[in-house]
Amino acid sequence: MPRPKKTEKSKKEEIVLDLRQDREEFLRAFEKPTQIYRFLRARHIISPTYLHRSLFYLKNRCSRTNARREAFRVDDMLKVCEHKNASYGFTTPRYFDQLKIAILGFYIDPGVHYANSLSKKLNTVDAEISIQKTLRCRRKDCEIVHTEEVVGAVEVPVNPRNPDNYEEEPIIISTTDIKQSKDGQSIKNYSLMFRVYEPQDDSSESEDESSDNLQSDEEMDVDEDDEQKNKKLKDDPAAISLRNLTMGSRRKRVFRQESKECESDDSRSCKNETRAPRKFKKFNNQRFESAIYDADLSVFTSEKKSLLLDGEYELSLNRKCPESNDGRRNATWEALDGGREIKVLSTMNHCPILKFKLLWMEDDKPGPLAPPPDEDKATSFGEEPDSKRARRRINQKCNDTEKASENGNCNAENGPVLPVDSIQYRKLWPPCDTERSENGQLEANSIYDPRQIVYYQFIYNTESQQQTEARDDLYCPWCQLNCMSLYGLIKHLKTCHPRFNFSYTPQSQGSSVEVSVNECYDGSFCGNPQFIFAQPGMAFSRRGPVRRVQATDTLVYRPRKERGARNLNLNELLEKEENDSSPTSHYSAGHHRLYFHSNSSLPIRPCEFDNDSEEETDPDWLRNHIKKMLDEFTDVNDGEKPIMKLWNLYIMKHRCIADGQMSNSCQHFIDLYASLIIRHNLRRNLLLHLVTLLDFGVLKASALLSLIKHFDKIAEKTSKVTSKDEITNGSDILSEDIRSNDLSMEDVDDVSLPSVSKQSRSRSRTVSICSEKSTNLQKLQEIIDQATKTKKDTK
Amino acid sequence: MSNIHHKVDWKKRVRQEYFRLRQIKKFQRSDNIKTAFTSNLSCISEKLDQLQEHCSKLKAQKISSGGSFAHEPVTKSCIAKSSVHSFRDQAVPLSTLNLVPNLPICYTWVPVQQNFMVEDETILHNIPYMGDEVLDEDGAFIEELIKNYDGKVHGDREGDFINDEIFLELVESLNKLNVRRGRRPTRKRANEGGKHKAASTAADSSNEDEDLTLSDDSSDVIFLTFPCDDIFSAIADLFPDKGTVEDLKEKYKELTEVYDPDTQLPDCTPNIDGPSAKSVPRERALHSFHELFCRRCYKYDCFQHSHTHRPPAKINRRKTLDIQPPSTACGQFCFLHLDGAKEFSMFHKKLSSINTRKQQNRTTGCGGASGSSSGSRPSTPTPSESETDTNEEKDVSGDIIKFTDLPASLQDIEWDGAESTLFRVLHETYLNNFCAISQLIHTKSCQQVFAFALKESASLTTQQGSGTIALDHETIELSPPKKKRKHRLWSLHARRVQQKRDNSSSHVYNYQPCNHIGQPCDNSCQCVALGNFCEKFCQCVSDCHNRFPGCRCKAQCNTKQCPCYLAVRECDPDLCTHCGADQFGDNAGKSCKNVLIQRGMHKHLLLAPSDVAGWGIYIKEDVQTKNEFISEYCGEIISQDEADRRGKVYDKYMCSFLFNLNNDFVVDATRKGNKIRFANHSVNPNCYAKVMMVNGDHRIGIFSNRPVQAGEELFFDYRYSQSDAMKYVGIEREMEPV
Repeated sequence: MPRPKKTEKSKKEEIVLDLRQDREEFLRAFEKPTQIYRFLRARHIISPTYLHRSLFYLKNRCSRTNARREAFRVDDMLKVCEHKNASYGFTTPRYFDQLKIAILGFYIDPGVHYANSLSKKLNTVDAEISIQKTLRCRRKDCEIVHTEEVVGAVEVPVNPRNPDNYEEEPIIISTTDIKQSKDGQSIKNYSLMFRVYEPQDDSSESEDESSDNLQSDEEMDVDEDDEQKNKKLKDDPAAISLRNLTMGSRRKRVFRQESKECESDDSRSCKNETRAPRKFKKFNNQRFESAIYDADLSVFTSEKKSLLLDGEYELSLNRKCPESNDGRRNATWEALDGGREIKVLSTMNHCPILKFKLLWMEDDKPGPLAPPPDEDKATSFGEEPDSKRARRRINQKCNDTEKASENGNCNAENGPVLPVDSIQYRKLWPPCDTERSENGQLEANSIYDPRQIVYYQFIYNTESQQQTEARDDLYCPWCQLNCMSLYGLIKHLKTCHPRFNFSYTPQSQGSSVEVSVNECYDGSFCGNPQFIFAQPGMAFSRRGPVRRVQATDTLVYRPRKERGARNLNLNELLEKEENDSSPTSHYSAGHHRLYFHSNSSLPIRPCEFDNDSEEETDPDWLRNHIKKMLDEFTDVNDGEKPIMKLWNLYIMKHRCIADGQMSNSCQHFIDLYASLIIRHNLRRNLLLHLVTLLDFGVLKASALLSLIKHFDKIAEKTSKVTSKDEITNGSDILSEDIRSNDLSMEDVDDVSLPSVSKQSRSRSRTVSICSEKSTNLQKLQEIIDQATKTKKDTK
Repeated sequence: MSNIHHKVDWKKRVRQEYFRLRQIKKFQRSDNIKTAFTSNLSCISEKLDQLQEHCSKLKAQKISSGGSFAHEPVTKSCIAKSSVHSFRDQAVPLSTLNLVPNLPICYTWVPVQQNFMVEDETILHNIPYMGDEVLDEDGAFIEELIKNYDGKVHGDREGDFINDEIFLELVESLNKLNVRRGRRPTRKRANEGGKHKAASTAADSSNEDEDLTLSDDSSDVIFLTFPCDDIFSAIADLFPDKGTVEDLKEKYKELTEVYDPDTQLPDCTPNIDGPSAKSVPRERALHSFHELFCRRCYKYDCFQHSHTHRPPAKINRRKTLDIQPPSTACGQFCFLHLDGAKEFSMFHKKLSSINTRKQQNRTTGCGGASGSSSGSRPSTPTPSESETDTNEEKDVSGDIIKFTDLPASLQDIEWDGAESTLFRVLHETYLNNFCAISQLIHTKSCQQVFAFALKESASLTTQQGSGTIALDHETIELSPPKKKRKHRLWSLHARRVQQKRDNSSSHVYNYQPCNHIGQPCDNSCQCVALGNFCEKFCQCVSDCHNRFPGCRCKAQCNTKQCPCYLAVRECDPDLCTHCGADQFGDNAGKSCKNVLIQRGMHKHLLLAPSDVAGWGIYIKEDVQTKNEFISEYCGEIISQDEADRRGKVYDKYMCSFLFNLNNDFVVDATRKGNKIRFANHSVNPNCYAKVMMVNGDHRIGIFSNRPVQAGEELFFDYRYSQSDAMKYVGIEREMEPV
C-alpha cells in the first residue's frame, strides 16, 4: 500500500516543514529586538552611558558599603594613602631570572560557530610556548632578525570546568639565557609566543570547516538541501541560534594581582602582537598546518624593562586560518555612527582565550632585569589613561574566594567597578550563590535560591506557539548582566528590555518567565518631552562631550509606602489580577507630554510652565471692550466716562465680590488713582460715583465722608508739592516726580491714557479759560502733557 | 411736454447721482478697510516688539532647530535619473526628517474668566463651511439655517436696494442740484419744509452759492429747503419697491429729524467738573451713574447682566445712612454759631432720632461725621419726644429760621451750577449735616451751605417733602431686633430648602432681583414665583421671609451640613459671617471652602492634545480629595433660543461647547471661554459639573469626582448637565481598556 507510505512520508515532511516554519517565525519575532539588545550591551561595554536609574533591585551588585561613612574622618584619607604606599612597597614586584608559566586552560567560546566543532571534538589541545627574540643588527642595512626557540609544550584542557582542579606542569623559562643572545647582539624585543595546536595532525582546515557546518546543520534540524540557505543564515549576523540568543557572547578576563599600573603596558603589547600575527607565519612553518591559534606577549621592552608582572593572564589567540569570517560578523551598526573601531571588542568576544599564570620564580638574587620599582610606578601612572584596551580590574568579590583572598580587598575599594566587568564567564564559574549564602546576606531564600532554574518561554505568532529554554543561572540572556537574584533578574528584564513583555510565574522547580514581543513598543521617548527640549540633539552623544542646554531638574523620589516594599518581594512581580480596574490606570499620569499655550497653541517652554494664563482676570481685549462700551454712550458726559472706566477697570483687576469689601476697595481705588483724578479734575465726578455706591446701599455715608477726606488729603499733598516746586522753579524735579508716579501706576496709565489724555488735553484749554487759579494748574497741565509726551516717546 | 421731459431729466439725474454715491461709498469702504488694516498691522508689530522685549528678558534657551544635517549620518541617497542618456545620474544624500505629529484643530476663542452675556443674534453672521462634501449632500441644512434668521445674513448686499443712509444722501445731493438751478422759473419750492427750516428760507437764496461750496466739504451743516416732489417721484420711479412718493417723503422727514444736529440730546447733563456745569436736580445729576451701575458686579454698564437685570438703586438703605446731624460746631465759623441754626438742627435731630432710635446702640460716636471736632456727644433723645406729634413740630420749625434772616454776607454768596447740584445730591443723604456737606463740596463753608439750604427750602418748599420722607423711613424701618429675626429664620429655613428641592428639582430659573416696593414677597413676587431665594440685590426688606439666611457653619462648608452647600449655593460673604466667607486678604480661605467660584480660585490647567479626542485639558497639580473645585466653566451667556440656533451649527460640526445654565440661559464657550472648555466627555469621568448660585448668579463649577493625579486629563460627563444637549456631542469614545 503505497498510500499510507506516502502519507507517512508527507507527514514527516510536513512535520519538518512545520518545524522550519515554526523556527522562522520564532526568529522573525525575536531576532530584531535581541540583536538590538546585544548591540546595546556591546556598545555599553565600549563606551558606557550613565543614566539616572534606580537600581534598587540590584542592590546585591552594589559593591560599596556606606558603613565607613559614619566613622569617616579626613585623616582617614591620608591613612589610606599611606597604607597603600606601604603595601605597594611591600608588594613591589620583584623580577627574577626564572619565569614560571602555568597554562590553566584554553577557552573557546561555544557561541562562535567555527569553534563549536573544536570544543566538542577536543578535550585537550597542545599549547606550545616559544621565545622569540628580535635582534638588532649592528649594521644598518641588515634587517631585524628574529630568532625563535621553543621552550616547552604542554597539554591544555579545553574549556575546563574546574580550572583549579587542573594541576598543570609549569613551564619554566630562565631569563638568564635570554639576557644575552648568542651573537652578543643586543636584543631589541623579547617576547613569548603562544601557540595552540590540535593534537590530530591529519584533520585539515577544510575538513574542520565542513564538519563544523555539518554539526551546526544537525543542530538546527535542517535538511542538507538547505545547506546553502543555512549557511547564509549563519553568516548573516541576523541569524541567531537559540543558543546564541541565551548565551550571549563571552569576554575575556585578565586577572591582575598588581594594581592597574602595569596593565597598560601589557595590554598595549598584547594589542601590538595580536594585530600582526601573520608576520610570524614564515618562522613557524614546521607545524603550521596544525597550529590553529597563536598569540605573543612581549616580556621586555628594548630598554630591558619587564612588562610582565606576576599574575593571571588571559590572552586572546588569533586564528591562523587565512580567511576570517569574523569580519562580517563584527559588522555592527556602530560603523554607521562614524565608523568607530570596534574590533577591540570583537577580538575579546570571538577569539579563543588562553589562560595562564605567570610567576617570576624565587631565586637567590633578584633578577637583573627587574626594573626599579619607583621608575615603574612613575611611568605606568603616566601611561594609564590611554589604555584603551586595558581591562579594568575585576571585582573579585563575587566569586572566587581563592582569588579574592589572594588579591586582598584592595580592588574593591579603589577604582570604579563597571558592572560589565563582573560579568563572569558563565561556564567557567558556577553560579555564585554558594558564596553568597555564606555571606549571610540573604533576605529571602526564594530570591536567592542557588539552584534556581529559569525557564524562558518564548511566545510568538500571536501566542499560539512557544519555545522554552531553561537556564540555570541568573544572568540576563540579552545583556549578560548577572542579576544575582531572581527578583533582580525579573525586575531587570521588565525595566530594561521594554521591547519584550515578561511575565513571571513561579513553578515547582524553578520559575518560568514568559517572553513575548511587546507590540506596543514604538521606541519613542517615553519621558517628559520637556527634557527633549531641554537637551536638544546630541544629548546622548557617544562622540565626546556635547554642550547641553542648561536645565535644572529636581529629582524627587518619594516611594509609596506599600506593604513589603522594603523587602524586595517576588510577589510584586506576579501578574496582578485585574481587580484594580480604576479607569485611570489606563492613562499615564504625570506630565509626560508637551503642553501648549491655550491662546497661541505654541509649546510651553519649561520656564513658562508655572505661569497660569488664567491668572489674569482682565485681559486686554476686555479692558478695551469696557472702554469702548462706555464710549459708545452718547448721553454720558465726558466727566462721567473716565471715572466709570477707571472704576470698572479697577474692579475688574481687583475683583470685588462683597458689599463689605466696598469701602476698602474704594480706599484702594483712591490711593491708586487720586493723582490721576486730580490731574484730570474729576473730584466731583468721583463724589457722584461714591454717592451712587451709597444710593445702591453698598457704601456707608460715614465711609464716604472719610473717603473724600482721604482724597482731599492726597490732593492737598500733591498741590503743596506743585506750589513748592513752582517757587523754586524746580520744574524738572516736578516732571520727574510725575513721571515716576506715572510709572508706578503703569497699569493704570496703560489703560486709561489713550482715552483720558485726549480729554485732558481738550480740557486743559477750557480750564485755563474758565478758572482763575489757573497759573498753577496750567503749568501743571503743561508739565503733565510734556511728561506724557516723553513717556510716549520712550514707549 | 416739458413736464415729461423734466421728469426724464430727473430720472436720469437720480440714476447718475445714485451711482456716484455708490461709487463714493465703495471708495470710502475700501479706504476704511485699508486704514483698519494698517492700524492693525502696526498694533501687531507693537505687540511683537513687546513680546520680543519680554522674551529677551527671560533667561531661557531657544529651542534649537538643528538647522543642518551635518551631524546626522547620511544613510540614504537620492538619485535623479535622466531619460537623456548623455546626462549622468545625479545623487544627493538624503536626510529624512522625523515626523512631527499634527496638532488637533483649534478654532480661535477668546479667553474670559467670567461669564459674558451677549444678545441674541438677529442675523446669521457667517455661513458655516464644513467642507464641500457636506454642502453638497446637505444643502438643505444651510437653507434651514438661514431661515432661522429670517433670511438675514451678515453683509448681504442687495443690488438695487438703497438703505436709509444712501437714500438720505441721494435726496440731499439732488436737492443741492435743484437749488443750484434755483433761478429757473420752473423751480418749485416745497412748503412742507417750513416746519423744519422755515426760518432759513428767506436768507437761503442770497447765501446759496456759499452754502453750496461749503456743503461739498462739510455736509453736516446744510441749510437747504425741503426737497421738491420731483426728486421723490423720480426716486420712486427708479426704485419702485421702496414705496410711493408719499412714503419716501415721510421717510425723509423721519430721517432728517434724527439727523438734525440742532436737537440737543436731552439726557446728557453737562460734565459737573466742566465749565458748563449746570444746576440740575439730583436725579439728573446722578442719572447716568444710576442707570449704568450694576449693583451685582459693582461695575458700570457691566457685561454680565443686561440692563433689565440690574437692580435699581435701593430705596431702603437705612443701614448705610449712619451720619447724624452735628451737635457740636465743626469750627469757628460753623453754621451752628449762627442765630437760630442750633434750633434748626435740634429740630431735625429730633426727627431723625426717631428714625435712628433703634440703632442708637450700634452707631458709635459720629465724630468723623460731625467734622473736625472729635469729642462729639451722643444725642440724647427723650422717649417722650418720640411720641409727640410730628406735625406739631413741623409747625414749630416753620418759624425757626428763614433765609432772609441770615446775614447779608451769606445771602450774597454765588453758587455755581456744579455746587448747587452737589448740594442737592448730598442733601438727601446727609440731610442737615451741613458740616459734612461742606466738607464734601469742598469749596463752600458750612455756613454758606446752611444758607443755601435755607434758600432752597424756601424756594422749593421741600421741607414738607423731606418730612414725609422721614415719615416713610419710620414706617418702613420698624423691625424687630436682628438677632431674633435670624433665629426665627434659621428654624424655618431647613424646611424651606427641602421644599424647594422637592418642587423644583429639574427646573432652575434665572434669578432676577425683585422690585415691588412696599409689598412683601408673596406669590406675586417673581423670586417666589420662580422658586428662587431673594438676594441682597432685591428691593424687599432685609428680613424678607424669602431671603436665604446664609449659613453659620464653623467648618469648611463642604458637606451637606452647611445649608448653603445643601442649597447648591456658594456662601454669600455678606450673609455667612461665621464660616469665614467674609474674610478677604491674608486670612482669606482659612475655613470656608464654599467660596471658590466667586473668588476665582481655580486650579492651574494645562492644554495638550488629548488622549481621547482633539485637545484635552490636564491638571498641573494633584487634587487630593473628592469634590474639590477645579475651575469654572465660563463662556457667553445666551438665551435658550439663541442656543438652539447656534446648536444647529455646532451639531453639524460635531463639536459643542454649550452648557445649560438654567431654564433661561445657556453658557456657550465656543467664542469666549476658559481652558476648562477643552475638557472632554467621558462616561467614567474624574470631574463633574455643578451649577451653583453664586451671589445671585448661576455659575458652573467643575469639581473633582475623585482624587486626581497631577498630569491627568480631566473629563466630565456632559450628559449630566446637558440632559438633552447630549446630541451635540459627536464623539464619545469608550475609554475602557480593551
